[in-house]
Amino acid sequence: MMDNLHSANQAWFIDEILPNEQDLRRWLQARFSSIRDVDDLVQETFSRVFTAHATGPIVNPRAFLFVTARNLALNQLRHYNYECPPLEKAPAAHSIVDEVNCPLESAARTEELEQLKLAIQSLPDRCREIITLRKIYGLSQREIAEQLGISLSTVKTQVGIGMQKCVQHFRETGFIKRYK
Amino acid sequence: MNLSDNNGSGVDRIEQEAAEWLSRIDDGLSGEEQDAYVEWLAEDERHRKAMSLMQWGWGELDRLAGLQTSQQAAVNPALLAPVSSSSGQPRWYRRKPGLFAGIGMAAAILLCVAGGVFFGSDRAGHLEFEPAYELMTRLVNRQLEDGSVVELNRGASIRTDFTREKRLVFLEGGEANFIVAKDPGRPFVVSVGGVEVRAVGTIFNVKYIGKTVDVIVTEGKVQVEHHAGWLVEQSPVQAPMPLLTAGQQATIQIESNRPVVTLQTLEKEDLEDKLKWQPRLLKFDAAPLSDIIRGFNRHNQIQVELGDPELGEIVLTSAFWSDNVEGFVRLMENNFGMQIIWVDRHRIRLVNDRGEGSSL
Repeated sequence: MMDNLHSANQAWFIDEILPNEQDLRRWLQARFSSIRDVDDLVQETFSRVFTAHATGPIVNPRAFLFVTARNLALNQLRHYNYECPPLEKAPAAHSIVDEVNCPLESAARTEELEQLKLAIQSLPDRCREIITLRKIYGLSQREIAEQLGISLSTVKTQVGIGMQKCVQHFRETGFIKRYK
Repeated sequence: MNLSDNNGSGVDRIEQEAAEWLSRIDDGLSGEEQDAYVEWLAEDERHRKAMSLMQWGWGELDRLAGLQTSQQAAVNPALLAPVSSSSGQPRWYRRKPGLFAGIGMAAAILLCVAGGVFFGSDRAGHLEFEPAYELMTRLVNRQLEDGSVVELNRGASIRTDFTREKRLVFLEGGEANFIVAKDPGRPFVVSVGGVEVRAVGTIFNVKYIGKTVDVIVTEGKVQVEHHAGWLVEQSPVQAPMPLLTAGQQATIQIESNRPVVTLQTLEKEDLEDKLKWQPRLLKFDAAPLSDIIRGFNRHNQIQVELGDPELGEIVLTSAFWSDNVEGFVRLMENNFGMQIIWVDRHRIRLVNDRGEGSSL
């Protein structure tokens, strides 16, 4: 049974993730030119995506792949104390996904995703907008501040409030059981 | 971590702090902030735990990344604005126009499947294609907490209530196949429209559409029960209903207080036919496209056909999940220069890019 699931995950990976490797590599090089080892980062990203999919559904494999890579890249850059590159240098993760314009919403109807969505929907308006831009569109906090014409510190505060409320929502709905 | 202890106000404050750190980290910490963060983490074991919980939740939300591309391409902060707040807090298992309500959405998907090329002008935007999108979505395979596996057919939804005595699964609609992990002390019960399907370790399929519940057993035995008892029809047996065994089907009409049951034993082909919705990995080794399409068509309501017979001679080595029609036709479009034409909502025709499609 486990083997079955494992091979299902592998097939998903081959179908949905591997074909994006070239694009991901090119995008990482363009957007994070100071990353030392892109191969390493790609492998790490793949491994995270593989694990994430084994533990629950993902709305849009390609978007998730790029968001995961971006998070890892930023962590690495911060770790090495590099300056983050200017944001306009390369397209943001969300526009990369838009370019392909064809998401594969394999599992988008499951309760897990519905619960995540409801957690965001339960937030106060401004908070909800900010979390939506951050998590669904993959905009950075700075980009969100620009987009909404508000200060970065407001965005930062709202992200904190939003996350605390989301976790409370997860607790109320039992979604938190997925946390181990 | 004991989650039930987390309702005290002290925990709220710690979680608030953790959430604030999370947000600052997300924007990048300065050197001083970094030091302060490390100090905060070290102060209290609960800080570390709260932080780890926040980071988990933060990561979980990434599962929704890219949700927007299916609805609209432009950045829209109001994407998840509540549709209506009149009915109070929505519950996830309620059928509601959520993720995939919009017509625009269906059109967007179809446009992108089609590469935006062929849409006949008087068809674009019409609702008639919406169900096709439904048919194109992938199926969902889930492992439950006890190790049982559920395969959900398109549109099906379940929720679970597992206790020490009983593993209860509510099938709220649609069709699902259950591969039950053996646990004799804890029966596995699927509750569907007032009917209870009880198993210990077995494989069975339950379909709940309209007022009809269909149970098919492929391995082991299951007991089908209803609190009001049965009226057994077209069957030599009397109520209570005997155990269903492999290859048997019970069809239950639940319209009245005393549901009516029809029992039958299925022929092998009939059985396969009824279960063919379950996705299989279709592996092709240097197979002509015509064979590959036949493979897909056997497993899907959406039928793919070739507008140009010579396309059938393209040879491919590949593996596809049988429910991934969209991925398949998109591959044909992107890598083989084909065009996708929706003949009707159940039929897709693949043609050479400069073929007959251009006349539409």
